[in-house]
This record gives sequence, C-alpha cells and structure tokens, in this order.
Amino acid sequence: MRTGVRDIGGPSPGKLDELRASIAGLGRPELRSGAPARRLGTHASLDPWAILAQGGLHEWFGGDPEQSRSSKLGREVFWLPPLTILSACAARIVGTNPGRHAVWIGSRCWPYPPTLARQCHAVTGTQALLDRSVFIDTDTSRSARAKRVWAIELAVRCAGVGVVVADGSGLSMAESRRIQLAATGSSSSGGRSRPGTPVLIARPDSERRELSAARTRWRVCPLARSGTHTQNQSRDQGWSVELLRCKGLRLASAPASVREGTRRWTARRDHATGHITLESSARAESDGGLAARLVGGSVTPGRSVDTSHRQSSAKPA
Amino acid sequence: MELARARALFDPDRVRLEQHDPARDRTALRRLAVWAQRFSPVVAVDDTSSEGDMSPDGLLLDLSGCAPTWGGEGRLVEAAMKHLQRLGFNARIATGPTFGCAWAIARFGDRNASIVEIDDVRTALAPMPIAALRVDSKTIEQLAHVGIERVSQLLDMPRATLPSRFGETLLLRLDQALGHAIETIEPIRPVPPPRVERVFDGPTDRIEAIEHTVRELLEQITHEFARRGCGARCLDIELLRSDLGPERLSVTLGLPSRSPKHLWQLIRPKLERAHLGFGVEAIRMEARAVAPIRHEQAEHAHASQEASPSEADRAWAELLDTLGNQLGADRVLHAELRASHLPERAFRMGRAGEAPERVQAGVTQGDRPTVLFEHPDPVDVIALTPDGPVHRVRWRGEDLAVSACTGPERIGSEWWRSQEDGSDRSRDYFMVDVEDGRRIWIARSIQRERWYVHGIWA
Repeated sequence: MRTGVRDIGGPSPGKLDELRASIAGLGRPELRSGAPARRLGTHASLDPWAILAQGGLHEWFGGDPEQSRSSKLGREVFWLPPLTILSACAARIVGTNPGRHAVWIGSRCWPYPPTLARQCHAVTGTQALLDRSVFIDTDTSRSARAKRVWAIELAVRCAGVGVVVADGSGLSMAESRRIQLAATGSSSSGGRSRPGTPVLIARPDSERRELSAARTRWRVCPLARSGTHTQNQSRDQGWSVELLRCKGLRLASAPASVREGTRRWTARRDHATGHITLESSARAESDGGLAARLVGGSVTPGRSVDTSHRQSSAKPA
Repeated sequence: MELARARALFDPDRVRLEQHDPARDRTALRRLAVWAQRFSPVVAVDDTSSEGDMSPDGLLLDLSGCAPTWGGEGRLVEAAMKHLQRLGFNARIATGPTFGCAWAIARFGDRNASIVEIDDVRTALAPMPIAALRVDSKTIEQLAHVGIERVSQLLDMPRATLPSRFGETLLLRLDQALGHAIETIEPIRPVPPPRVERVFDGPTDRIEAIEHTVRELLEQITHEFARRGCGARCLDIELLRSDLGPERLSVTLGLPSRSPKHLWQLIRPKLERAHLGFGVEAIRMEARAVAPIRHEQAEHAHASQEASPSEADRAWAELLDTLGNQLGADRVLHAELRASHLPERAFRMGRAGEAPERVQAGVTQGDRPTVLFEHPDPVDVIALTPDGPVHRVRWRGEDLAVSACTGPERIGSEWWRSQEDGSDRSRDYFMVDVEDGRRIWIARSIQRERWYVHGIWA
C-alpha cells in the first residue's frame, strides 16, 4: 500500500548549502544574485586596503599611544582621529574611482588640506582628492551627533560619493546599524542594489567596548620609539595598525601566534613624500597555506573574528 | 595699431591674440543691457554702428524721470562709470536731450563722461566730425569730397539742398541729433522669471494645506521650466501672512534642477520651520535664477557625444544642495590651496559648489602635519640652548620626553601684509617626536618668546 509519506531520500548536502546561502542572503543583495562570494585573499596575505575599499562601516579607534591612555584628565576631550591613515585610505579609494568624491563629516575629521593634497599626490600623482573633497561641519548644538549620522547616511546613499570619513564619537548600536545597512547598498524596499560605499568612522579609544554593527574594527597606535635625543635626524613615522574585528573572516586551525600576527600591520609614513605603506607584521612567520579567508558579506556570528572584547596589547611585534 | 606692429613693439608674451567673435560680443552686450536696467527701465542695444563685420558697441538708455532717484544725472553717470569699471569695461558715457546728441558726444567728445544740457545741443554738436551723426561711410566720403568735415559746416548749409545731394538719411540724422525729429528705440524685454501663485479663500495656518499647495505649485513651476527648457538655480517662496510681512524661504541649487521631488526635499525642512503667524493668505513661488537644462530626449540621443552631467554628478550636486540647505551653506565647504608659506594661510575654505579662485599653488614640498590646530596650543618646553633642539615638552598636563627633534624651520611673516601692531610674526618650527611615538609640530614665536603646539601628525 502506498502511504501518504513520500520518500524524499536523505538530505542532499548541496541543496542544504544552497538553502543556507539563500537564507543568509536575505536582505543582502550582493549575495542574492547567487554569484560566488568574492575571495579577498588568504589570511596570511590579507590586504587591508582591499578590505577597506569594500562597502560597509569601518571603525577606527585610537590615535593615542597605549601607555598614556590611562585615565588622564582631559584626554577624552582631546582626542584626535588617526587622520594620516584615514586620508591615505581615502586617497586610494578616490584614486581608483575617478569621478567619485570624498566627504569629510565633522570638523574633527578634517585633515590639513595641504597635507591631504601632498598625500594624494604621493598615491595618485594628482591632487584629485582635495579637489573632490567636501568638508562638512556639524558640530553646532546638542543635536550634532544626530546631524552627523543624518549627513553620513545621506552621503553614503549618493551615487557620486566614493568614500565617507566621519567623526563617529558616541555612535550608538542602532545608528551604526543604520549606517552599515546604507553603506552595504541594501535598500529598505529591497529593490535595486547599489555597490556599497566604504564609510571610515573614527572613534575614541574609550568607546572600543561599545557595541556596533561595523563590518571591520581597527585600532591605530603610534609606534613608541626608543632612542635618545637626536637633532635633525628625521625618521619615518610609524603606527601599528590592528584589525580587531572583521565580519566574514573565518579562522581555520592556525597557531594563535600566527593568527595574532596576521591581523597586525605596521604603517610607515615616508617623511620625504608623505607616502604610507602598510607591511604585515607577520610576514616572516607566515608559512602560507592557512585556511582562513575573507568572504565578502557572509557572516557567521559564532566564527567571526572579534577580539575587541579582549585586552590586546598594542606593543609592536 | 596693426597686429604685426604690436608684436614687434611689445614682448610677445604680452600680446594676446584672440579671434573676433561677433556673436559672443552681441550676447555679452545684451547681458550688459539687462544689467543696465538698474539705471533705467528702457534700455536698448545700439546697433546703428554695426556696419559690416563690426559688432554693436553701445547701449542706449532712456533716462526720463530716472535721474532724480540717483540724485541727479551727474551722480547717475558717476555710478554707472564706477560699476562698469568694476565689471572690467572701459566705458564712455554721455547724457543729452536726444539719443543722437548723446551718441555723438559719447563717441567723439573729449571726456569719458559728459552731460549736455538742453540749450547746449547745437554748440556741443558743432565741432563734431560728420561721423558723429550716425551716417554711413559713403555719405561721409561724399561730404568730405566737397570739403564738409564738421557738423558746424553742415549746419551752415541750406537745409533744402541736403536731401537731393546726400540722401534723406543725413537730414533725418541731423534732425534727430538736434531734437527736431522723433527717434524711437527698441528696448530689450527680458523674459520674466517663471512664477506661480495661489491665493487662499481665507487665511490658513494648517501646515498640511500649505504643504499640499506648495507641492502643487512646484508641479506647475516645473512644468513651466520644462516648457522653457531650463531648471531652477534659485527658488523663492513667499508666504503672504495676514498679520505680518511675507515670510520668504529661499533655496539655492548647485546644478539647475526641475525635479519636483528634489526641490520639495529642499523646501520641506524650511517650510516646517516657517512662522505662519495668524495664517497664510497666499503663496507665491518664483525662480529667481534659472539655467538651461537639456531636454531629456536630447540627452538620451546624444548621451555619449557631449559632456552632459552624468547621473553621479547630478546625485552629487543634489547631495550638496540638501546638505547646504539643511546645515547652512557655510557648513558645507571646499578647500583650495593658496600660495602662502604660512601654514594657516596655505589653504582657504570656501563654500562647496562655488567656482574656485584658481590660485596658482603647488603641492607643499615640506612635511606638514595632518592636523593643524585652529588655535595653537600653549606648551612648556625645555631646550638646552635658546635656538637648540627641544629636550622635554609639557603639554596638556603630560610631561613628555623627546626622542627626536628636527628643526628649526623658520617661517617669516608676510611682509607685504601690514601687521596691525607692527609686530614680527616670525616663528621657528620644530618637528618633535615624543617618546610615546607621537609627532607634534611645535612653534616658537620669535618676538613673544612663547611656545605653541601648532599641529600633529595624527
């Protein structure tokens, strides 16, 4: 006798994966099309510039050295975003997207224009970044933060904007999610999708424990220098850049020391030209063949790398 | 002077050669005529002198009744001369009882600005050459043949003999100059700006009704824009209130637009803040400045051939409009480099969307900080010798040891700018690496012997 139950056989692994991917892709236009996720490189050779050029919210902490971060009076008021690295990022992004503009929101995030022009000159050979930059001042009243968020969201949704650099101090979780959604290009109506716009947000180091929906979190510290008093010996300046969190970066089995090292870079600024280079701190240690890779957009919360809850030392490797 | 002669006489870099473009001249003169309507409502482009290839080069203004508003003809002429010079024109101005007389004195008089009273017309015209009568070159030649070169000679001749020998025009021009014949001019009529209006039955303070009406008016005015092939650069909305003066809202746009949606986005926040008083009786909308926009179909047809603003550019202009209208135009800025070695003067922030000043300024050669403090931060410094390197720094309550110090780099004050108190603003700059890795830019004011932190490589 035939029963009402049909034999559908064992669950086919391919079908299940497909189903999982489509569930994960709900509300994510870049995945819905069924195109294979972009592979950005193996863990051992993560390219920070490529990560930053992706649409989404990228948070930057610090700018202040670790040792002086202890509760000094007035330090909170006097906080400066790591503008050298942020403007280097903006120069690269605008340099590769001709016709796009850069928006700097919040007067704390305005770099000194001659330096900006010089830095862009070092990357692209033109001063295009300064010509295509607009500086927005929102610090007027108590509603300054709301205005900043409004301006960021408006700028991110504009087709003519290539990168947004903003002062993100005091940003709440909900606001960061709003910006992240706008920056990845998903629209509330679920209609047409745009390519995302990178939003580089600078936040003070004290807000590192705040929750946020950012795609990546970075931390910048000036590299302390030993040595004594020397005159007229200008050396290149250095920062340690650490990737605290990167959604979609899956870790496979790798020694903890390697994992720590591959997320850390040393930024060097050439004194003569203003050019910024990033070199991996773990280049020597990396043995290649690490299974970790960065997959654009696919997020597995349990497995995403997030070390922001951990106390990480900023001492250079 | 011929071109070859000018080239031989002057430095070749100073002789600039430009093609004569009559059409452009004509457009510019017409624009100047529109501008000149500030002096008189009746302004005409004078095209009597446009003979052959020559472009018209004069404006005729009917000043009847206008001079008293300027405090007399003398003041009016003075103001016109000053404004024209500011616009970059070398002008000759004459006023007189007739157009012909003013024309003659302006072109052949011995002063740049002259005023002819009603009784002096004959005496003023008498010494003028025949060309001052606006007659063609053939007539001038014929008169010169019989030895008549001045108007006075012509005035002495019997009237009746003139038309048969030199044509009707000569006598007409003479009579027009003397005021015996009527002369009419054809004034320019600028197209009035697009304008729509709606009057309510009675005053209303319901914001929904006002918003709805404004949106309707927007639809109407954008329809008018489409008909004229233009878009708004500046749109004014007047709310006529029953108890107060009109409330004026104004939006300015970077690129001309005739999209009701975009215009509404700009107007709405202003409308929400508008003070309605006891009620609004009427709403008036006027586009104060318009600029041509290509028709949508033409844009599609020649999309690849001509440079029309792309969608990204339009989106960018709309973003600037929205930000500027919401936050204030002074808060959406654009930076340009200036040719100055003083760090605080090496750039200028201007309103975004305005044409930059095109100052020749290269990229700075020296290393400058990424953040320059608007107000330099006072700092205590220990240096071993007066001009020597910085040894320790006490800044914002922190005592910092210096690991490296580069400098001094002396930046002198700009001597061509007069200092208010005659002080010397020269400074010595040191690039100081402190022990924790930060690099700061410290300046020492030479005159005041004070130290400041002026910037930081953040």
